[in-house]
Amino acid sequence: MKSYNLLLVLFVFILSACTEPIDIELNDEDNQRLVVEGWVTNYPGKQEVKLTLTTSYFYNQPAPKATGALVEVSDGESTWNFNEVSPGIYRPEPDFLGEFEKTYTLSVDYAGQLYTASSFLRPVSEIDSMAFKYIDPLEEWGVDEVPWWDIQIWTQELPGLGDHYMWKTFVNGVALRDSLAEISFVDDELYDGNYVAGVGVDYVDQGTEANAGDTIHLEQWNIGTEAYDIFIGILNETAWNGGLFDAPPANVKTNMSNGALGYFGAAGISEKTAVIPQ
Amino acid sequence: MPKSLLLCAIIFGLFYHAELSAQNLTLSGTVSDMSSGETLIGATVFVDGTQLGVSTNVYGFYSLSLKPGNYKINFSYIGFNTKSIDVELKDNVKISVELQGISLEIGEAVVEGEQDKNEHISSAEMSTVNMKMETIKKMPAFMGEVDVIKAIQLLPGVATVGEGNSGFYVRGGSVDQNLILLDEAPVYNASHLLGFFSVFNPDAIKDVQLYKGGIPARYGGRLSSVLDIRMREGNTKKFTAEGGIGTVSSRLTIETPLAKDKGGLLISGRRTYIDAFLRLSGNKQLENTKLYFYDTNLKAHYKLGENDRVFLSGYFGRDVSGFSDLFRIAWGNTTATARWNHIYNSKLFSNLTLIYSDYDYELGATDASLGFLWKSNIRDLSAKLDYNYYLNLRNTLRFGVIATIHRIDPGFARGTGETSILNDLRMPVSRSMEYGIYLSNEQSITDEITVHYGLRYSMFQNIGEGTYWNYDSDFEALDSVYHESGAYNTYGGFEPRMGVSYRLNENSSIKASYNHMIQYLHLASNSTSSSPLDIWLSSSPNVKPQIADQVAVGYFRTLAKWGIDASAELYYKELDNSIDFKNHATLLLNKQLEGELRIGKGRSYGLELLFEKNVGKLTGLLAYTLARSERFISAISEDWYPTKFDKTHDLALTGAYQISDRVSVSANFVYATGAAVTLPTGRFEYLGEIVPVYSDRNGGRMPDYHRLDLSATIQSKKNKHRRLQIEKVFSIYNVYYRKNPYSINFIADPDQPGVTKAEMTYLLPIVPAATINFKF
Repeated sequence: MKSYNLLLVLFVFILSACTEPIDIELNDEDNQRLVVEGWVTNYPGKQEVKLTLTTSYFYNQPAPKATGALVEVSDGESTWNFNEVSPGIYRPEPDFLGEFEKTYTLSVDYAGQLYTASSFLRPVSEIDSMAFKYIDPLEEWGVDEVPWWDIQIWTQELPGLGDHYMWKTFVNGVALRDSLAEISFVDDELYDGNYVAGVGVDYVDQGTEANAGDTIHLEQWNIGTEAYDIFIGILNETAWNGGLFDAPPANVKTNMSNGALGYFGAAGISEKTAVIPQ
Repeated sequence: MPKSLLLCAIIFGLFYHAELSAQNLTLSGTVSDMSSGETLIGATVFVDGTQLGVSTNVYGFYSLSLKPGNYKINFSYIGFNTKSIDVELKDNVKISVELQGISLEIGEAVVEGEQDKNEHISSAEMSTVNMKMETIKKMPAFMGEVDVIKAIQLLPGVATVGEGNSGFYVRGGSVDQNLILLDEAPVYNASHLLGFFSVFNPDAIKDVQLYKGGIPARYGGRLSSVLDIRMREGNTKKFTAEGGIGTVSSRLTIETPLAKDKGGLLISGRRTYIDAFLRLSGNKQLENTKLYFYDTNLKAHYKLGENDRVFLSGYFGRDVSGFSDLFRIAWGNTTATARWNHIYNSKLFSNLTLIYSDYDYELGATDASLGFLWKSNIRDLSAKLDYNYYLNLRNTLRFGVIATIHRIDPGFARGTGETSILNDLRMPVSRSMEYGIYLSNEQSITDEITVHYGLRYSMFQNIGEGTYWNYDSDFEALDSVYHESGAYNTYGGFEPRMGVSYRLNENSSIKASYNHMIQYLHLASNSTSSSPLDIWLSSSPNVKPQIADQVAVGYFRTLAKWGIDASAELYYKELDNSIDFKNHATLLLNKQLEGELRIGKGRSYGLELLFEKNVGKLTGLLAYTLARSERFISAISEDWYPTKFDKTHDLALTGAYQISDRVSVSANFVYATGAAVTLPTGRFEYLGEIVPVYSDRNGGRMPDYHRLDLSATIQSKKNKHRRLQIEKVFSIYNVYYRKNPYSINFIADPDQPGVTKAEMTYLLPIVPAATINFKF
């Protein structure tokens, strides 16, 4: 997958586009709106809701935490209360596990306003096996870049459109990537129902990110269509912004009610762990 | 409907009236260039000392009806010596005239022939600009590549978005509302290399005509403009070759008579060689980079007899870029036109045209499991029959019919790897028919008042096999309906067009025009740059045709002393069923593309000033536009918002000065209000990204755009014994290195976590270029 980034290098070179900072005055009317980042999954320790607030665009400090909110999640039968374990971070105590094909509803009572969102927990299939393919770009294409391992998986894509996968990689127990732009995710439209045999879904650079003998843990999340669209929307407005073919800027969709932003989602997770061979 | 009936009544009344009038005789023929045999478009043929006369049509044909008697007829054309011929009219006469080009040599250059009649003043056409290739070739050209569309962009009422982009926006209309015709074949994507160059090879082009308003009834299918480009026909006198070696490309054009004075052939080619330089760079990454485009033009014509001429013309061009054998993208147009001119009698001229046009692109990557090939194309096949009927000296009628089959394949993607995991993804192919029938008349009611009026009826049908989806009020697809064959959806409408000119005196006139246009094909694009991955979509049960109504008034004046044609025009245009897209729309490979459309309306208005000087040592134009272009689409914004190509002020000044018989210099200055942009009003954090929050669409402005270009042309010494002429052209683009923002991006600072900043992208620094042109 990584090799396609070379295309971007190519176009940037050709157009010799240059950038420089520019001073521009902005209104800052979108202040202090509630922002939700929350998940319910079938996996222990992943049930969490983060609440923050919007700021002016050039605020340039971490987003203020929304503290003191009442947070609960319900599946229509049971309700779980989320406690604020640190400022703005809410977790169920004790933890619970989401179940496949159930709909979960989040409600947040913050500063006298009620915000809600619902999400359907889609099932996910097991990762049957995982392998590492070593790629040296200097040998392959004569491009002087750091060699890497493609992380390849074998898994059955679930029949029926609407599954959208996100893969999170951990090296020796530490998350490899912490921003959406670096995390790989995909929709199933082009390979719906097919058996995925040895396709690279992520990669680790040799030396800087991992070495032979390191343990790689991979999580496969089925996040669903709504989350996928919102993630694409976020990337359009952030990491992918600045290309020649940009669409007009637009607000990213949310599933939260009452003017809150962000996304509350449910996802099925499967996983695999393996050691990079010598 | 009653209005159009009235119009028909007027037209037929006119016929009747004409038949009763006195016995007229007809003088007809063609006007052509003495040196090449190339026919001249829009040359004027006038009875000396009167206001009576006509212009030659696009095939150089004219017909003048006069009472028997003795006349002195003047044949004139800009850049050519006027020829006067004494005619004793006793019978119908055919006179074909060859005009001699004015030599560039200093001293004899200024022949401001007092024309008997000035088309600029008297014609009922307004909002129309004709550009001669000689004028365009004199302008400083970006990287030395003379470009028809870049020249068009300097005109008032024509806006651009983005540095060096060959998309253009006429009077607030979007880029797909321009009908771009190359020898009558529609060109669906006129861009090379992401828009930096256009597909029109200057050496193969003869004439460029832009209609921004008062669009004649013979054109249809687009709302905002017609750019009618005619290829040269091929020399019928002698073998010639011309070409050039430039910074980015080389060109070669060969012309040869097929039979002396009867037929000619033109073959023209152009290719860039950026990739050749990349190969020399020694950098392996660049060596493996593919990047080039080429164009080929071909034209042949042959006179079968006194009354028949046939023409064949074709264009084929392609852009290719890629990296090694890993990735490749290619796109291009193919057009072909076959025409048969037939003169029934001295008054009735006809032309039958068969047209083929195709735009396609393909995108592919090689990989064992994820390799893919994705192809898409749009193809038109048309048959068209046009008549010019020179009823009498005061009336020229035009009528005709056209039928077109459109076939749009929005995309077919499939895995190509040996162990591919990809399914085939086929977008439904859309087929449709578009018909047009029109009748128009250009009438001199008195010596002062000229009118042209016409009516077009257009019809559009979706035909099988085809699939369309039904959508609910939230634009979610409900179910799809499949039609195996036959027409399953029909739209149609009358499109009245008219213009009137009132001559105040010899040097000035006022004009007014109205046109109603219907557009059945739409480009699904929401980006600033013209992307090669164009998706056209046709009107359908879900997508109504777009409609435009435009009125314009103008004051036209000739400042004869300085050889300047000046005009001021005011226009107002309304758009209905105007198309935009929902936020974060998925346009590519989306079977339910129609669900991404958001429909609304548009309006634009403005003032345009144009001063043009086409004769003398100093030539050039000054264009200024004060304008507003807005859309109202309730799903996007609660209020009217400016379009991205809304430019309050837009100024262009271009001039060329002939210093000596060998040296000329030219300059180009443009200034425009910065493009409208949407600015953030806040931000939030999600999964490690800092996401902007926006309020008003296009509520902010980029800094103003301005730029100066210069060029100098040095010609080899003139020598009567030597046919070879060499010309060196040096040009500098963006002389004072203005950093014009292409876009403003609000991004997270990669070096400082949590910090966001505004950053502008600008594309082109100072770009010098040199070109050597030759001709023999």
